[in-house]
Amino acid sequence: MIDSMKKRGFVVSLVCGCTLALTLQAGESPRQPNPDWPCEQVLVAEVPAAVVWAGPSIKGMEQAWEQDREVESLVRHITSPDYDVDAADGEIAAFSSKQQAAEKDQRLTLLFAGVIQSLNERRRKELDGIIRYAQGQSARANRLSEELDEMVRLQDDPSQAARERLALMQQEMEIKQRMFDERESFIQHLCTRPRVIEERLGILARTIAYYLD
Amino acid sequence: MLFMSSRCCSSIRPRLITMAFIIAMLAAEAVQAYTVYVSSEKDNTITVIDGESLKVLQKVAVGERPRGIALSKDGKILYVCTSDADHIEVLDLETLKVTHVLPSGPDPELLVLGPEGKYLYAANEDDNMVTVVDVEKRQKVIEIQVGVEPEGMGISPDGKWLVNTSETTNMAHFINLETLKVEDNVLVDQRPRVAQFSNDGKQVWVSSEIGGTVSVIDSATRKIIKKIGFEIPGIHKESIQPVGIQLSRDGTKAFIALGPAARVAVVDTAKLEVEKYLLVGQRVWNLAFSPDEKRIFTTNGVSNDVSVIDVERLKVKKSIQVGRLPWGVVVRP
Repeated sequence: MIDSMKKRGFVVSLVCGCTLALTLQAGESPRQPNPDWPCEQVLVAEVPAAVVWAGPSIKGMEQAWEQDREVESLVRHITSPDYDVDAADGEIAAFSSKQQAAEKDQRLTLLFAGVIQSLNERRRKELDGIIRYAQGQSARANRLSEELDEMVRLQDDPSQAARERLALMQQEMEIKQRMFDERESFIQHLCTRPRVIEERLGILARTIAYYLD
Repeated sequence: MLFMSSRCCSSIRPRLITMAFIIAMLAAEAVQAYTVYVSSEKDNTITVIDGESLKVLQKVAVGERPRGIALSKDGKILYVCTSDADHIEVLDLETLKVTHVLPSGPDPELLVLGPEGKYLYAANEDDNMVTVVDVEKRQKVIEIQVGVEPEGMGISPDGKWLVNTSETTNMAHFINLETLKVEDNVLVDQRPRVAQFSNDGKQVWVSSEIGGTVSVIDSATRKIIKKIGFEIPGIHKESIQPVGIQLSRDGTKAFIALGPAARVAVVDTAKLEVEKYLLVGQRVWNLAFSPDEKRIFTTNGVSNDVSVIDVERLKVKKSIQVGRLPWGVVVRP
C-alpha cells in the first residue's frame, strides 16, 4: 500500500510540477508553458481584443473609458460577476441610442475597451489564483512524498516505537491522502472559471459590435 | 378555337418552364441535403443541424463528455467517444437513439474509422494506448502501445497506416496497420493534437497546439517538408494554438483551426503558406466540410457556437448556437 501511495504521490508531484514557484507574467515567453499551470487548456495570459472584436481599434483607450462617467458606470455594471448577460442587449441598445451619430461608434468602442480591460483583469486574478492553488497542491504532494519515505524506512525498523509511529502515520496518511484527492479534483472546476469570463467577454463584445454603424 | 388554344398554350408554357425549373432546383437541393452533427462535452449532447437551412433540428442526450465523433461508412451510425463514461456510444442516426456501446479503453478522446468501415481506432490518453475495436463484433481487437498521452489520429486513404500523435513526447507515430507495430516516429513541435492525411496519401499534416505550428510530413520519407507558422496582427503567439485540420478533396487548400485566436487559417497547399485568416467563434477547435465542400463548419468551445464558412468567398456566413463546449463535428451526406 505504501509503495502504491508513494508512487502516486511521486506521479502527482511530477504532474503538479514541483519546481520553482512562478507567477504569471504578461510578457512571459509564449512557448514556454508555466510548469505550475495545472489545467488542460494551454495558459493564455490575456485575451486580445482581436479575438472577439473586429471593430475600431481600442489603442489609447486604456484609461480613457474610466474618465467617461457614463461609460465607466455601464462597464462596471455589465461586467460584474452576477450580471445577467442576457440583459446586456437592452442596456447597450439604450446606451447606443442616446449617442449622437458622429460619436456613436467612438463611444461604443470606448465601452468595449472598458469591458475587455475589466474582464481581462478579473480573468488574470483567476489565473493567478489557480496557479497559487496548484503550487499549494504541489507543496502538499512533496510533504506527503517525504512522509511516505519515512514510512518506508519505518517498515524496516523492528522496534516497538517504530511500529507505533508507523501505525499512527498510516492512519493520518489516509486522511491526508483523501484531502489531497479532494483538492486535486477541485482543480478541474477551477480550470473552467477563466472560460466563463471569456464566454461573457465574447457575448458583450458581439452585443456592442452589433450597434456599430 | 385555334385562337383560344394558342392563347391557352402560350400562357401555360412559361409556367411549365418555371415549374420544371423549380423541380430541377428542388432536385438539386435534395441531392445536396446534408446534416451536421456536433458533440458538446459540457452538455453531454449531440446537436443535429440541417446543413441547408442551418437550423438546429434537435439535441440528443448521450453519455458523459462526448468529444471525438465519426460516421460509419454508410452514414447510418455516429460513433461517439464519451470520454468520462470510458466507452464509445453507437448512435443510430435514423432513430437518434444510442443502440449499444463499444469498448474503448479509458478516457477515449479521438477516434477514426478505417476505410473498410470495420475497425475503429481510439486514442486512450490515460494509459498511452490506441485501442482497435471491431465494430461488427463489438469487441476490442488489440491495444497498441504508443507515446505518452496519445491524442490525434489520421488514417491513410489506403488504410495501411495510422498516424497517432502523443502530446507529451511530441511525436507523430506511424503505425503499420498490417503488423500493428509502430514503425516510425517523427518529432514535431510541442503538444501535437490532430493528424490528417492528404487525400492522395502523400502528406500527413500534424498540428502542434503549444508549438503553434503545423508540420507537413512526407508520408513516404517521414521527413518534415515544412512547418507552417501563423502570425495574426493584434494576437499574441500564445493565443495561436493550431488544432483541427481539414484538407480539400482537390488538395489545393487546407483549413486550420487556431484555438483561442478565434481564427481559421486558409493555407495554399502548393506554397504551404497562409493566404487568409477568417474570424470565427472563440476557441475554435475542429472543422468539417459539407459534402460539396462549399462550406466548412467549425466548433467554437467558448462561444458555444458553430461558425459556417463560405469556402468559395472565404467569408464567415453564419454562427449557430449549439450545446455548451462544442468539440467534434461531422457532416452526413
